[in-house]
Amino acid sequence: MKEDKKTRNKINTEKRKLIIKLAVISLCIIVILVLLILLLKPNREVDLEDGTKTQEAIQENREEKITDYVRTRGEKERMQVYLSEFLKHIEKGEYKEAYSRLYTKFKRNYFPTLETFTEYAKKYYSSFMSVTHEDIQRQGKYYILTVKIKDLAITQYEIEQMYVIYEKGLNDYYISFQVKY
Amino acid sequence: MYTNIRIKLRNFIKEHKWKVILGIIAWAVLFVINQFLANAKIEVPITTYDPYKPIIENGQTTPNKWQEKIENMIDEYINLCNEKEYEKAYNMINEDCRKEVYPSLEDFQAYVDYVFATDKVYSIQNYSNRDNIYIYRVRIFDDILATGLTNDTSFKYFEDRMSFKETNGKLTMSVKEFIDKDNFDKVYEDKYIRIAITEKRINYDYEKYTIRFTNKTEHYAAISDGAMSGNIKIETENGEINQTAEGYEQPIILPPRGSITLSIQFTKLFDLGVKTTGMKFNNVRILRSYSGDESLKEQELQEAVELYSFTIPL
Repeated sequence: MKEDKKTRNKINTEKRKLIIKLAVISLCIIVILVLLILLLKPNREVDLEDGTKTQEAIQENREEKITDYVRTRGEKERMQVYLSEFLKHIEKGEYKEAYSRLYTKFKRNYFPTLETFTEYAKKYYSSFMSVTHEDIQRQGKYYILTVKIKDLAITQYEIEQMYVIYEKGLNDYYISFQVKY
Repeated sequence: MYTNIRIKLRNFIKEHKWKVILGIIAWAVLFVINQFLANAKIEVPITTYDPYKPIIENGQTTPNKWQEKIENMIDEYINLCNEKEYEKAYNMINEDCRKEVYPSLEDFQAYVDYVFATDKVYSIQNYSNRDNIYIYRVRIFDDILATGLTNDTSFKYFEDRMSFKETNGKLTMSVKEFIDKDNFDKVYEDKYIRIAITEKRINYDYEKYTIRFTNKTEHYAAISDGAMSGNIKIETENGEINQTAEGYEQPIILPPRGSITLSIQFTKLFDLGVKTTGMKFNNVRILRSYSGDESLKEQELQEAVELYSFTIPL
């Protein structure tokens, strides 16, 4: 009887050890798999039947190229690139992309919805603009750019405007500007 | 020989099977985590903004242990002002500074209401460091990212020089360019007058002395013909500095047995690190009569009891 009990206890202990070992190994495998998945960049280039890439993939590609470009650039050039990209989005009618760069409080103050921003952009910007950089100053982490923007498409009208940029990281920034009424 | 090695290896693995498996898995996990962290590192953009590098370099920098503390103190102070927590912000200021700059909470409240009428953000820059005092230039301005400078023709800001003094391992904060205050007990006395310098206030760009003048005679004691006369100067390691019109600018003429306490100011930059060694009174006149009339000045001088000058060491 006693020997049976001893044997049973021994078997239970062995079983418990095995379960613990299997649990640890499983956990480690799961962690490795998750990290591997995160490491591998998802290939978003979906080849459709006609061979074109999705809009999202194109934009992501472009953002990566800009990040690579500004990585080795000085702060003045980086700010000019950011402003240029912002205005290019507006030129191309990519209002959502431009809107996503606006600072949250600035949006709340002046453009609470994408529609209000789109309406403003269509009224005050054109599809073909030239930008002349007049001045740039840094106040702590804020950059203030003064530029002249000329409508080359129709009116040839030129305005001077200030833009404020706050850089959180490479190609990761907030922008706001003098709103014209 | 190879057979022996194979047998030994097989026996080793048989004996330590689980340890070997766990070791391999642990190595794999660490390897993958290392790769992940290497790819996930945050790139910091190149910038010329270095808030801890002093604009005026004299070999001293803010010690590393104080850099974050100073930044946090400024941040807390600005946030309290934005939130109109007047008393909490007021109490952050060094006591001597409060007495000089904002004698009452109401004075401070008026300043906060004026500057922080709208929500403000700020930028800081270490300006200069000397004698365990760290001076920061703080620019306070509207949240320009929230406004985009709309309705502004240019960028405007309020600027302050805040100083942080290290004493006994602690930091105290002063504002409005106030640096320090020393209580003095420097006295000059002769048979005609007594001059007691009781206090020295050091601001970023001037020194101000509180002085009590006493006329011990039955005559008039003319100490100075006014701030611009050059009759009162301070002596420094680099030369003499005249009294300025800020502070008290009128002539100092004591009637018989008269006394007066005044604050006299001298332009002197703290950054230069030049010590003040004395205060010079170079045209003291004990006069039998004094009318204040320029046309009678020559005659009053000729009838003077005494004409002399002296320097009080500081």
